[in-house]
Amino acid sequence: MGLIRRGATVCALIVLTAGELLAQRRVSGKVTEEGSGSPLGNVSIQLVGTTIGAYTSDAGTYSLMVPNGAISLRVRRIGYQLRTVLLPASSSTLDIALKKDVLQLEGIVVTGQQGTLERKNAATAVVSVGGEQLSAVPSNSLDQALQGKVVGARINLNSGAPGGGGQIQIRGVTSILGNGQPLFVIDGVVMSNASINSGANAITAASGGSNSSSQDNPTNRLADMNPAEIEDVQVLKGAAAASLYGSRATNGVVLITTKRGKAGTPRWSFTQRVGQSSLLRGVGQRQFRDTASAIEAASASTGAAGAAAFRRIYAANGNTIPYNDFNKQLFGDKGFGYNSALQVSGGTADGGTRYLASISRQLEGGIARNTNALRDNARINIDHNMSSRISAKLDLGITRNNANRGLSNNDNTYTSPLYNFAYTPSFATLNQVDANGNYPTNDWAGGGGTSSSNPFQTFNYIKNTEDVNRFLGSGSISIQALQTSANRLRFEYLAGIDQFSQDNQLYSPNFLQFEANDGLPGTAVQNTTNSRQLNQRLSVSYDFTPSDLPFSLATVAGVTMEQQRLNTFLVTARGLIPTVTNINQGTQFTTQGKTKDVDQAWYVQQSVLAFDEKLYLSGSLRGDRSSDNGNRSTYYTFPAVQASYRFVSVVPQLDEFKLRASWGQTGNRPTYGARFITLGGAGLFGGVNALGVNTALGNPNVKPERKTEAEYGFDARGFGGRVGLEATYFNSTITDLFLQRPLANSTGLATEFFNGGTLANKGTEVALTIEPIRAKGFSWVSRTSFQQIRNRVTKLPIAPFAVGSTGFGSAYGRSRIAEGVSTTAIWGNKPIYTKTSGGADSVFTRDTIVGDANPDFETFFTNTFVVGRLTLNLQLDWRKGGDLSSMSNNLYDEGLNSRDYDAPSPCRGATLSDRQCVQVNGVNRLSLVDVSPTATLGAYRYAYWNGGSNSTAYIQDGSFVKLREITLSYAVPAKFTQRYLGQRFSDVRLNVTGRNLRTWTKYWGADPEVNNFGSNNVGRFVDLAPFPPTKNVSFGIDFGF
Amino acid sequence: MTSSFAATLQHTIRLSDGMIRHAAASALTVVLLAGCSAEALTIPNYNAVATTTTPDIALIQNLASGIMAIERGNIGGYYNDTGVLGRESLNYFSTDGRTVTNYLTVAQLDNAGFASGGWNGRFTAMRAAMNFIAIVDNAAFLTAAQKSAAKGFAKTFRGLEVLYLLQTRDSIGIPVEIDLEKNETKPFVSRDSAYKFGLALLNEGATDLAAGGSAFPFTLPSGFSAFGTPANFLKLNRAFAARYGVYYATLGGGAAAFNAALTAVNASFINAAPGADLAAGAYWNYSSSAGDALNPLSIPVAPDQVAHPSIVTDAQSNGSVRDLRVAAKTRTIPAKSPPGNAGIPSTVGWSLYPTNTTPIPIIRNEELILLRAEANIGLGNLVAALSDINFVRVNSGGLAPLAPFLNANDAITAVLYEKRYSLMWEGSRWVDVRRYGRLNTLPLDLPTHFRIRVQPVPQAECLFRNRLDPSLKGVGCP
Repeated sequence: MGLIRRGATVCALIVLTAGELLAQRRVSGKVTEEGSGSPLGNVSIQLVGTTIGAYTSDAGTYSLMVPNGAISLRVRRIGYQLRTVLLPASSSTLDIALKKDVLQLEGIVVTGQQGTLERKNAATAVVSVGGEQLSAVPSNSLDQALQGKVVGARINLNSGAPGGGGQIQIRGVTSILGNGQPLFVIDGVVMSNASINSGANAITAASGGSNSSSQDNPTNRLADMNPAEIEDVQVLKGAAAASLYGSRATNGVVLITTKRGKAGTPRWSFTQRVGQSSLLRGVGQRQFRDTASAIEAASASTGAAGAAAFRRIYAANGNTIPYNDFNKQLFGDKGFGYNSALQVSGGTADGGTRYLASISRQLEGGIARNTNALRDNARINIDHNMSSRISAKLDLGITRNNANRGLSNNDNTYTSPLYNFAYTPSFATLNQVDANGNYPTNDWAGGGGTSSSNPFQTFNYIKNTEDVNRFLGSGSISIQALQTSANRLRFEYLAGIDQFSQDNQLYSPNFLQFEANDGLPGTAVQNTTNSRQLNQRLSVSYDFTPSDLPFSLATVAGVTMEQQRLNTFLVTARGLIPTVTNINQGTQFTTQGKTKDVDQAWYVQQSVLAFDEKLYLSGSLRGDRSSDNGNRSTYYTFPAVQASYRFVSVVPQLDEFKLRASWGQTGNRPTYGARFITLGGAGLFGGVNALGVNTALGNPNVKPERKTEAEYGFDARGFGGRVGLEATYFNSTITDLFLQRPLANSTGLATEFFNGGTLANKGTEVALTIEPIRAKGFSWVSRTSFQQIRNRVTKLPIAPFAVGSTGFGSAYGRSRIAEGVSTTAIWGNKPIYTKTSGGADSVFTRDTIVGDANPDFETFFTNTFVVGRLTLNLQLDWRKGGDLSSMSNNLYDEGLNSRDYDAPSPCRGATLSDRQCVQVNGVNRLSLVDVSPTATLGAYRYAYWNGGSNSTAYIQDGSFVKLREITLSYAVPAKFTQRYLGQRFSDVRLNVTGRNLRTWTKYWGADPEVNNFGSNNVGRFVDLAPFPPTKNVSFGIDFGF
Repeated sequence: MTSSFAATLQHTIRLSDGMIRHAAASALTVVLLAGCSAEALTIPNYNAVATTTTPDIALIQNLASGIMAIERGNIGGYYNDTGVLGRESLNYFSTDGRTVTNYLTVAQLDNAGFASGGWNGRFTAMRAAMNFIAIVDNAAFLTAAQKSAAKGFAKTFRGLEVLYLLQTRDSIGIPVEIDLEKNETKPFVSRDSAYKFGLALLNEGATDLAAGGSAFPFTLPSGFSAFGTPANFLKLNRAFAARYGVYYATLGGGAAAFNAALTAVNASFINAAPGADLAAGAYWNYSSSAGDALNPLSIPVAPDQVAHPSIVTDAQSNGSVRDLRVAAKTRTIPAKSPPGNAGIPSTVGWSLYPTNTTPIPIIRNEELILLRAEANIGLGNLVAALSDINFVRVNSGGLAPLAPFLNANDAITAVLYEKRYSLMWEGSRWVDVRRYGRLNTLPLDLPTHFRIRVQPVPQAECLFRNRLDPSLKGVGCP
């Protein structure tokens, strides 16, 4: 036996080369689902050990040419358990039934740069999300589509503005100052997920006189991806899994694989969806029950003029007090949206050339006037085998993404709607134009006069357009240098480009109410960004699969070179000539920022699969150098090791049990420019360029942050594949934290770039999948995932410091980095009660921990019910804990306009022992301010906040349960479609979907997932006048023909 | 057993062999491929000038303008803070009530709040001046006189910054030195030491300016048109020495300081001749050109800045004619309140800076005359003081001249009134009433209001110092 095999090995090369000359026969058959017997399309049938293969049609049939003799076929489809079937030499038909893989144990996971591994052997917890899961319910961005589907990740959208704008954080806060987003890699090409500020700050003045601000509600560029183009998303969470991505991977790696063509005649599919968005939850408005309270609110900031304005309104309405819910009025549109997608896939019969082309358009209607997002995507992916040894791929994707996002978030001009409404009493009518089409002047927010602002007028006339044109392309060539039955040596070269231009244009006409305020009516902003990322990879992989030995060996080695370049240019013009919408007229100032980063790396990985594929061992090493490091020639190395072992059928009902463990390191390079010590620009003075002090001192020794993570877990599968449990515990530390170390401001400086300190994350991820019912015509699959992460700064060799852009000072709560404390802790002013030496109560204010933005845990429930041709899919997300700074609530209370303002104060009936409630003339005065026990709730909250001395008044629990997704789909019977639509229609589905249909929460604001700051690693807890989130319903029809 | 062992051994050998061959192949590949040039990594800084740039005459100009640009950036906050604390102005910034609460109504000053300002920018300006001196010292292309002039200019500004800063922290003292090389934190020094340090810097600057030849190796902006040469700039230097000499004299400097101040003021650009221009002086000028700055206190830029109502009610009259300075500097506006209705509506707006490019005064002739009066009061020369007080009172306020003072206290009351109205919203009143122990003459508009004696040291500074040697903490960081 051994001799024969060895002989075969020797001859394998010759045999393979000659393979095409051998006699062939045709094999055909049909693939069906076990149990239901329904035909399965898109099933891959591959001759084991070769590249010969075919895919089934939608009717489940296949046909392919194979060599004579006994063969074995590998049959696989995503969502089904893989089968390898032996076909005797005499046979030429083969029908195959596949079992549903409800536990998601099948499939291929990526290990490192391009190595792959059967999922069942994976030694790390890798999350795979199939394309169907991403595109089942329309989403405004890939971030939104991934919400609740990646255990171990926190994904939130910053607002409800059309076009997305979200953040993904994998396994906790991994950096304070460095990049805190995952690395996104699409088909091997590193893709930009930059969040570029629009320049809306020119109107809102959220950051005062700055040119743009992270409070502009930017879109992160992941929004350019079309989820329907995606075959699969894999999330490499831990450091061991992501280690081969080196110094850009501390926050994990998201690998996106787009759909590829399949051999055979062209197959078309067309999807059409129509739907609408509407306001999920407004914050409401106080309804005034009596004139006394109305006059109090009316005169709060505008005094007698406000009171007079109220009396005018009161009289004009027949001595009644009108009520307007501004949120429902401004954000009350039913935003019409649609999604149309056409895709064709095919290839030559032998599979030598395959292509997939798709084109799609998605309109997301905004819930406020003149807001929407329109995205066009087109993609062509081509695979071509030039010979049996050389194959090439060419992928081209283009996107145009146009969004009109209105104004929102923090504001200093009353132009952000919620900010405005907080100070405008509900008896003011803002949305009704007079006979001349003029909007009423807002007598309140901004105090009337030139400061007044009417958001209805603003949204009707303002333009805040973001136009992105993006090109993603890659080409690769792979050469099989050696292929024997035991040895396979392959070289691959891949080059990719991701280029986009983002054009933000803002125009605020000079007749808008607030425009006269600065004496320069009319504002126009032109903000242009060009981004180009290039990457190249040259790699060699060597697989050694001896048939006579119980192990196989795979080695991958390669080098990469990556380049990122970003250039932004912003011009603001004020004092415009009427009707001129561009920046040609008026006062202007410009800023330009340019960054360029170049990274080079090498990597090597070696893996062993042994003992009947039960033991998997892998080790890898990556070396990185970057233009951003202080030392540009040093390669920083990141090792990783992984191991797993499967116990198969050792206990009854436990089909398989796998133990896995891994350890690895990844890095996070410093930001561009940190290594330079420079003079500070101080603008112009009298036409002369002024140079001063750069208070953020550079450091020529900066280096990457380093994350070291150990991960342990097990995967169990039992009861015939009907129960699966995956559990993972990880423990990571990030050392050499990249920080801006505070310096005493009395040195004339503020900070210095610095590496030091340690951050630790520990967490648990559990996913339980059960299939309680599996019967003919009815099945129920339920999946529950749970995640919990604890974060702590374990070592900080420098002074604690508040992190910029994480809040608005100690009055409202912000992030502070301090030893022994979580980075997600919210620090703010809090009254501390003590006893004096004489025994009397005394109180002082301390800036201390008042909350934590990190949830206690998050749980995602997904249930899929199949009844005949009907499928119902439900996804519920539950977040327990996670505090927010509800500054929106503070604004509404300050304006005396919160919807619950008149509810009784919690002090009503309280005793003196309750320290939040102090009687006006109480003997033991405990609070900094007397809060009357008879006050209304709004007055109580605001008084309790005490001008910012007690931030706890507005730190609120953000727990929620959200009906994230719901899908009901119906597969139209083939007989029916073929009769009425023609023979060519093979697959027609109807579906009704909903996203974010309902939120259950006690949180005061519009949504506990919003965030005022567009992209930041810590401080994702500030709710300040967001664009309110939406809910969406849609109806769709999918055709396959 | 044996055969199994042999097989395992053989397998292990094969495995090791395979691994070694693979490792060798990969190592070779990596070495071959890693030959990529490191030159591709040489990316410059596109956005800023390296500190190591070789200086030339243009850089000297840029750095000189830099010192002034940073100082100009500090003035708005200083006049706002001292204005609110001295009950001259109210910042009813419409979208953040903390511009009121952090200054007037909170029982404990928030060191992370708005009233903790006036700190970072002062030190940055001092550092910029010191950097400038270091670069000038090593600039071979400058003559000795040019170097001296440039250093005198920078020392004047550094001294001015020390003394500005001292006004905001007064009795708790301030750090005055900066470690340019190692950036080490320097201790707080007492108010007395800080005054001596700042005044010594001004005096050194004066010496340098006197040896500065006929021209600076750079040009000054238009607000300094009267001080464009070292000789004229020396007069400005002496004006600052007069202001802070008088301040110091009332805070422990005594007669010696009053005498020094009197000498300084007479060496300044003071002019009390009939018809003298009271507005003559140094100004920060603004421009709406791209990159330049706008007047941060002007009506268009800061429409929410209002005047304290007591400015109108406390004004004296000449018969039926109210102090002319009220009408010259303020205007009547519709009642304005801050968000959250702090209960102190004001109907008095500012008219000091009508456009966004109106210059802001740094020091003017009018102040110098009143400083001379103060010095004379301090030295017991009440008659000389009366002459200067009446000169301003009549020419600027349109009021009747005062009769001779009965005592120094009356004279102080009189000069403080004139300073309040002549130097309205120019950073004088809060400092003046505090110096003379008259802080309680500031009105409390509501029972919850209180009077701040000093601004708190910012939290960031304290967080940093609290880790250091206790001697570096200073009284400002509890």
